[in-house]
Amino acid sequence: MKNIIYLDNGATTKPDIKAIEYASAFITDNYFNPSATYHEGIQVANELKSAKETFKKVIGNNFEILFTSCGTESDNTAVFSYSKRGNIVTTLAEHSAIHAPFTHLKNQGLDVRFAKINEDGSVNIDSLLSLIDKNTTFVSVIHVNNETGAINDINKIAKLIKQINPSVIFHSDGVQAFMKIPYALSNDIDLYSVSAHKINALKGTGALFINKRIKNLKPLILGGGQENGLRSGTENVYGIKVFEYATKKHYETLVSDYNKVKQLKQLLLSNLNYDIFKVISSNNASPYVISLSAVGLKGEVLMHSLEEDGIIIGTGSACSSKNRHSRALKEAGHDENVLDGVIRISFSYESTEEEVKYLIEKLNLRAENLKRTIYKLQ
Amino acid sequence: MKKVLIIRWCEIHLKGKNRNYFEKLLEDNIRHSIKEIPCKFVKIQGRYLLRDFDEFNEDVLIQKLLKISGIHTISVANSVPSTMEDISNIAVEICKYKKGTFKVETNRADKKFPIHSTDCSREIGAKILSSNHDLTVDVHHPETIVNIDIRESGRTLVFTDFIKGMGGMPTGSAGKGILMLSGGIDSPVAGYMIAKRGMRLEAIHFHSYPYTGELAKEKVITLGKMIGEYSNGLTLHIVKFTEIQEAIHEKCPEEYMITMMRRFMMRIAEIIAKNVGAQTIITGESLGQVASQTIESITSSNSVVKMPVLRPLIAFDKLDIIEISEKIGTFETSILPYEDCCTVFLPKYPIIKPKLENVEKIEKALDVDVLIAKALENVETIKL
Repeated sequence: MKNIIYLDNGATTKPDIKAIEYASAFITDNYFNPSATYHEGIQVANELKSAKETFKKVIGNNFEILFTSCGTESDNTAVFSYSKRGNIVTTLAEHSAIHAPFTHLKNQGLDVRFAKINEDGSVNIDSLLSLIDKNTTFVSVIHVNNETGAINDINKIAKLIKQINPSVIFHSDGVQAFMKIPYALSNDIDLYSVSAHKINALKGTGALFINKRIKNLKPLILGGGQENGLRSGTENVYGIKVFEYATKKHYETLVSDYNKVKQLKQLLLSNLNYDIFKVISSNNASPYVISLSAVGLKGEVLMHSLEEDGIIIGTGSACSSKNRHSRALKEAGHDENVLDGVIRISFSYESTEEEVKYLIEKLNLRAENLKRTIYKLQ
Repeated sequence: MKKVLIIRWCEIHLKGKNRNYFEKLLEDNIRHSIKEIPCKFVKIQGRYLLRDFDEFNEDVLIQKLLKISGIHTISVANSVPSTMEDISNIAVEICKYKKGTFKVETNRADKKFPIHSTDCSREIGAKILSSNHDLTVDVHHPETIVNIDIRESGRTLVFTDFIKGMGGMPTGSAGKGILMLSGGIDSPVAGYMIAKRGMRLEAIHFHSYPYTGELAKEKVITLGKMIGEYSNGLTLHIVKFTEIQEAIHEKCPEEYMITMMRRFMMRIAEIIAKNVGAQTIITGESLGQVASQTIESITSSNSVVKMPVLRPLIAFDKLDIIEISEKIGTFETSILPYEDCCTVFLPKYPIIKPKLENVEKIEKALDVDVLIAKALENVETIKL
């Protein structure tokens, strides 16, 4: 494979080879069904228990751990469990894993409310609070926005919401936050979704953290009653063990990685050609996700151009007429010229200064050339 | 009870002395298409039979046969020994759940069979009637016809249904053409229609990376594979068009962008056609559908090539094209939102009736030969 600089870690991350080696015994030797009652099965079940303990250490003992197949499943489980009556509230800058189920419930006739967002993709707290009333049953606010990295202070938001209506179930999608930015979840958070493949573990594994205080979570998948009946289907033991290892490892270096990536973000932002680029992400956003716009150009074309330099980035727009612009960024009020040019650069803890310097050189150059070609400049 | 597939061909019987040639082609195409499925291919008077296949392969075979041009109809028949008892039993069985009206038709190819056709039909009809009270006889407009084909081999084929085949002429009977394949709805349909008339196809696609992405290319490859299923495979030539597009964008008035692009595409298509021994260029143009498909625009793009250009969809309405596209299975892929030309190069108001003399004058700003030579250095050829 050719040498590439991978800067689309918001989409997925490179699996940690050590995590894979650590867990490989659960494919080759300890492949038994954790529901089986013979010795081997029980041993595997114990491994799942110890994985849960690891997550509790990281996230807090007041949470139970439910393993799922992905962040989307965790989000859907949360939404469909508690959105039966009254009204439910979310933001206009959620990942599709929240936006789509909310839209579905809206089409089914439920009172579904969307809070406005700020230009950087964070939720407008005033707008959010104005939507909460005594009939609100469920609220979901993304922790770190997947397109801009905007951090919502979910502890504060959950607290304010519960002051208005203490019976609200508060959920947050933490897929881009977990093991990337340092935080602790307050006891006001009821449900929290995470995904393994965003932190150098594997696709096909996710988790929903459930505050022990809350009851009546409803399974999306019925069957053999695994995970205390909350998620049937034989557990993905291998995926879970890889996830556990990656979590442990990231937890140890969380703050130093965060500070390092913050410097990379700073390096990038201080060297962009601002005749072309506009930064959409705010200064205090997660440094792992940076949203930029090559104003007046097409983000997708720029992305493909950089492919020729061996750099992989993400895009927030498509060169197609359907769903051309990012839903969230459009709601954030950016105009068409900005929306067309959106790209997303997302770092990993392994990203280096050297890579970012190469990115800066090529990004500026490619954008300048494109601008010259398209606008017929000399 | 054994199942047999009866394959009937189309217009081959119209061809006088060439008939053997056409039959041989169709036979070869069928043999090639089903070569991976164990079965026996038999030629009988006026049709082919496929027999001795595993039951689970019946549908696989039918699906393959439906994509072979030159086949008129297919029937799934039951093959039984030629005794009245065996024939009646199977006829009764296949009519077990039928309702409405029916009749029995007998073809006695085996003249040694002791019972005459009409008597045979009457006798079997009576057995069916007495076994299924939901059926009545209508010899003029029956809903079901039970066909009894008594073969000289000592076996009889009993069947009721005719599955409509692709029609047309056997692939390979009408030379070779090069299809201009975009990612849209029309060009795959145009390719299918010409393939149906027996022409072997290669295709050419113009790719403008980085202005269009890999998904646009993947989409065209998928479409090419789909068309290839109707034409005994397909070779796709992907031409990198970026430099030409950039040059036109830089040096020609915006409204002439597409007019100019079409002229380059036609020229390149003709060169590649000649290189691969194709005799014609096929396009999905439909008169007046878009600005580049007015008669003036077509005149402008046609004037740069000498080869005949086939436009099978020229008089089709969009809805009719979509209908065929759905039938041949390309529609869902065609409407995927990966455009084959990035919107940055599309003029807001393309010229609708370009005058050839103006077009030629504007084109002088470009070094046509050099641009084409460069584009031809960058052709990716894929056998699908």
